[in-house]
Amino acid sequence: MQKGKAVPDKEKGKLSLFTNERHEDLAAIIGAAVVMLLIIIIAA
Amino acid sequence: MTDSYASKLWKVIPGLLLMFFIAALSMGTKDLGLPQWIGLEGVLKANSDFLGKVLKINYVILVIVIGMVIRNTIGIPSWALDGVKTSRLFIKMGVILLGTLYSLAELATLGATSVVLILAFVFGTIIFTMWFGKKMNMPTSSAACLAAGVGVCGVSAIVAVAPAVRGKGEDIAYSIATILSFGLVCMFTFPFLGHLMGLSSEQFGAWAGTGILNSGQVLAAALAFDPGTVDNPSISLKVGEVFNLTRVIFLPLVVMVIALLYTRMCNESENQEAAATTGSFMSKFPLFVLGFLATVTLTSFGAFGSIDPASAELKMFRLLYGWFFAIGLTGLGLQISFAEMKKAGGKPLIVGSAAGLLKAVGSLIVVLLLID
Repeated sequence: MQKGKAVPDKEKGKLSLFTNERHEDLAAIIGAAVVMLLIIIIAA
Repeated sequence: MTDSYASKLWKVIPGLLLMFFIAALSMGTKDLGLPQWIGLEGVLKANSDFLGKVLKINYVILVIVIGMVIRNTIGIPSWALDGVKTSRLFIKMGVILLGTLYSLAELATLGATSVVLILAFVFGTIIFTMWFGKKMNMPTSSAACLAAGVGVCGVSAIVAVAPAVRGKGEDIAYSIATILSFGLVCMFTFPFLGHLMGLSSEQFGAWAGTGILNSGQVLAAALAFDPGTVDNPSISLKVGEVFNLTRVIFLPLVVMVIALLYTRMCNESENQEAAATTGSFMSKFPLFVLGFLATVTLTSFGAFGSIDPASAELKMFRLLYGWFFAIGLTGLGLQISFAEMKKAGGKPLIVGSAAGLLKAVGSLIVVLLLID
């Protein structure tokens, strides 16, 4: 395994894949909606 | 260089697999059709009454601890860093799916108590933190960021309030480190104290949802106290998240109040810089809460089938949010650095801990008086 460095403190606030909190929220809403649709289709 | 979406997605996969592996290691693989591995939680329960049944160490605590150990020993492997960054996304998706546990009728019943409790404790804590911060000679912007974190729901509140009080990078970092350190103590002690005092699941949920600072830590403590099952979901989680999300709903109002307090309390030099930007606070409202509310509405109107007994769809959603939380909380553990926690030493830690402790004790007393 490649040994990684602990993330520097200044990077802490950036520990999200998204540059904008709002984009992350939207992605979560879309992701959850897709999951719900898939389950409804599978259960039907 | 801008990465394409496909390349970003590719980079996310190794870290995601690492978090999924730790989640499966802790939860077991029964849900994946492999009942042979009962998970570290199962192993603990089978071998230690003290750890499994008294301390009730479950997958939630395990994934966070494993994450913390990795982060503070070998560090997050560089190949896993992008995947770990998806942890908040999973927690938010889990919260949205958690909406399938609620119906509007239930929310209306819980609402009155939670709104009164939340309003009293959120604004009481904010005023106390800003007053005590001033007494301790903290910069007003730093005290304001800390007040948001201690009063509302942790990191997102700090991030939302910072622009309104001209918070600097170090104000934000110290506030986050303080509330995570204090919250970490709460996350491990609340379930233990709850069992020790013989609290009901409803009482514990209300206490955790009011007294613990960070959304992820409310979730972890509530699940640690009462993990629940697919057929009998965790009551403490259900109640705790209602209290927790109620305070999130007040976030726009909190930003406005703190910005107003800031302009009143800051000194001359700070005041020259202070142009409280309350006009933009609505844009800071966490959108995923709307997703949670939409799920509650859909569930209430039977979009996912029968609520009682739960339909196959609802059972599947409940199974999935457990996995989303396990994956997300693994990432949360991987982001807790002891060095970052040490940074919280000094004034922010004293002020934040005093306010947090006051809120935890006060909310326990009120919960014991108001909730059966």
